[in-house]
Amino acid sequence: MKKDNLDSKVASIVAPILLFIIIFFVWELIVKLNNIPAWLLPAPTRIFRSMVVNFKDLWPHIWMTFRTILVGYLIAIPVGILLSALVTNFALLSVALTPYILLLVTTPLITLVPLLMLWMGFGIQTRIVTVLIQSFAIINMNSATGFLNVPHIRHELMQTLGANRLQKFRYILLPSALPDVFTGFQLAAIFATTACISAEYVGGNMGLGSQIIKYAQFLKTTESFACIFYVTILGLFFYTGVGQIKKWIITWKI
Amino acid sequence: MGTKKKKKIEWINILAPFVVLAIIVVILEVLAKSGKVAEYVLPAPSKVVAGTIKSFGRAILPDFLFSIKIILIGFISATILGLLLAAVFSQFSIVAKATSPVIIWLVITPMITLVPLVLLWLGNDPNVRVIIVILQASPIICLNTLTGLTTIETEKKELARSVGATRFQAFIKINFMNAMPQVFTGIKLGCIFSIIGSISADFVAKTIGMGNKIIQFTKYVQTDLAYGSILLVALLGIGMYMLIEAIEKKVVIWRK
Amino acid sequence: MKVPKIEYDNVTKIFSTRRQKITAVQDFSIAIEDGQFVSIVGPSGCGKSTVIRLLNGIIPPTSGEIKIDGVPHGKKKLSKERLKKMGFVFQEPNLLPWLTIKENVALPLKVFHMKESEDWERVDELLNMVGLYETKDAYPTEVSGGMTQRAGVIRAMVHNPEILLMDEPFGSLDGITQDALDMEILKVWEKTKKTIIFITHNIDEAVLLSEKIFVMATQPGRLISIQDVHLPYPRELEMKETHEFIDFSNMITNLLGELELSIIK
Repeated sequence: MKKDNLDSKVASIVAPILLFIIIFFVWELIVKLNNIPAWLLPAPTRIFRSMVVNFKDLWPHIWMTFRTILVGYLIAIPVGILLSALVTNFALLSVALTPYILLLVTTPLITLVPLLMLWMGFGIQTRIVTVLIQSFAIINMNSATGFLNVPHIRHELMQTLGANRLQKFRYILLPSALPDVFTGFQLAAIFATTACISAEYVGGNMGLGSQIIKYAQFLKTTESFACIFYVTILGLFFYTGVGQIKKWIITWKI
Repeated sequence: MGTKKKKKIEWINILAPFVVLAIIVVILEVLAKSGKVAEYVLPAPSKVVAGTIKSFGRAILPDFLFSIKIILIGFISATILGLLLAAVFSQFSIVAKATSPVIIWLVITPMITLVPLVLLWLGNDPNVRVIIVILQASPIICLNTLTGLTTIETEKKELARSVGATRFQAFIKINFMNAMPQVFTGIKLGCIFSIIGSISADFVAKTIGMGNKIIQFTKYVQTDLAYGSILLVALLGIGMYMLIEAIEKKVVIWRK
Repeated sequence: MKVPKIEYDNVTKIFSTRRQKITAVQDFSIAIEDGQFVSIVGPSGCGKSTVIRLLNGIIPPTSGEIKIDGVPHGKKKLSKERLKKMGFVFQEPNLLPWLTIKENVALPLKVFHMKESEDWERVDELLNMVGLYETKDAYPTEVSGGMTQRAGVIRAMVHNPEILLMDEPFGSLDGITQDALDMEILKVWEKTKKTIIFITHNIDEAVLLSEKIFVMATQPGRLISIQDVHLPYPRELEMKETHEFIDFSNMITNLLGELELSIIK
């Protein structure tokens, strides 16, 4: 019924907003009532104020983290899709390499960060590579799943039309795989953000990750939280951005 | 197609990944020994294995055991927590709607951002890192489980009600079993996040743990041991993942 | 004597799995003339789906020869030329959900690289013929099962093939739609005189539509009888009520029934 649907949609938006407000309200209350010092647990209002006041100082780091994630992520997308398309398309490659596609995902590639820094230094390029490999792994795996799960009758359809490999890819493989590909993109957004912060923890003094550590060490918990919230905003940007693009592109229901 | 050819294909399927592994190892070994690539970038695989085995007992084992402990305790706790919370939240549609975006917020914010603050609050006890693992892994497990439990077709719900199933019975038989594929996807991701959480916590807190060891070995340019440590973590990751898959196969028999 | 359009010459297909060998089709030999409408009937597992997939190369035979216009398939993959001669209608509509009805129907033209204007005009003609012109810009999920199946049928015809292979095309539809589509396919055949191989488990449907019925049995899949249908064309749905029709249909059912009994014995 139409009214139910509308109520449902309104509830989906209003309910979480209410919950967020409640959470922040309770947080604020606990801090104020117990007189908790700011260096231990700052109140949300204090954190929000800090985000605004310190924006100028924090901006270079916000921009650094954003750039790092963006570049690594954008490179990972075509590489991940193409590689999985190639591997899954040739039976022998598929059989030989699919375990490795899985391996790349289950091994936390951030373990390579110290080595990468040894080879490439502490600059942005190392962190971009970290984001790149961690994002690539999950995009690669989800895309491979998509390519391998195309319904058999669609393959038969292409066979009856004598399609070559490129035609198969264009007409059935890629469109069929798109939902899985986009799931991979969304997960990669999360992995990318985490990988970037991880890399910023290890070396260099640029980026929000480094600032979180720095402020914490000086007991400037408020500023540390401000950085954490900015990380959330960046992550949200990528995650919902991809989600929206998914809605625009995948207009059909499989 | 004759049976002989079919058998041959089966063998190829099993052996192919190992052949690839062998080829990679041989290429790396040759490259390393040729001297064209610096030792600190690419130590020979033979050296990596030998060095790691030699140093394993005194230099690596304590940290490895520590990391395993943190990861396993953290992951299992996160799974229980995530599943329980999702089960509770899914009971009332309004609660599920309210909490989903909040959980997404917790998933998107890398919980490793809290490592410095957690250390500040709870001190230097290395075991505190378990909390980071739980924080990093439980949101994704909770989110996937919640999604799995709430996207159930109304038909099945009505069917349960029509045969007089109690709320609990209906929940277990229909919601839970239907959600299984999603739940296991969440658990697998949680497994990966657990390890990432643990290693990242080691990066910040240092003193002990595989993350710390990798940094130490790299610092002293003992790259063969660094690689060895990375491989050990990789083995742990694969091992956990395979175990989860095995459990999943037993539980979700009808999955495509 | 004219060469038959389609010939199966002692064709056998054996599927081997790890545990067993399944003879899907054994020593299958039939000839179909140009422009004939034939049906293949039989219980599930009798190999009828395998038989038409052997014809258009989706499945290669284990032994025996398949010929079109007297020319055997050979060992290699079927050429695009040869594939263009055939159109395949699947059991499910098998439309691509991201394409409109018209785009779906026109897909073979794209894959076969057919760019002549007459080919593209044919798309609209076919859409009109089965009443899909109004919905040509809709998506498959937005229209009914009967309409998507019609789209599947004309998609198999858009590249003007000489042979139409139909694998239980109307089985998943309700009775009324099935009857309507049966009549439509007869009209199409009358107009275009293509060679049609129609697979169904519905014996009445086979009798209503075809000139010849190939009856198959299972375990192993094999031909047990060829029946000529002596009813006059044009066929009408009302014919299903006549004694002649019912008797003939029962006779075929009995053929299959006897076989089942002999298996049980």
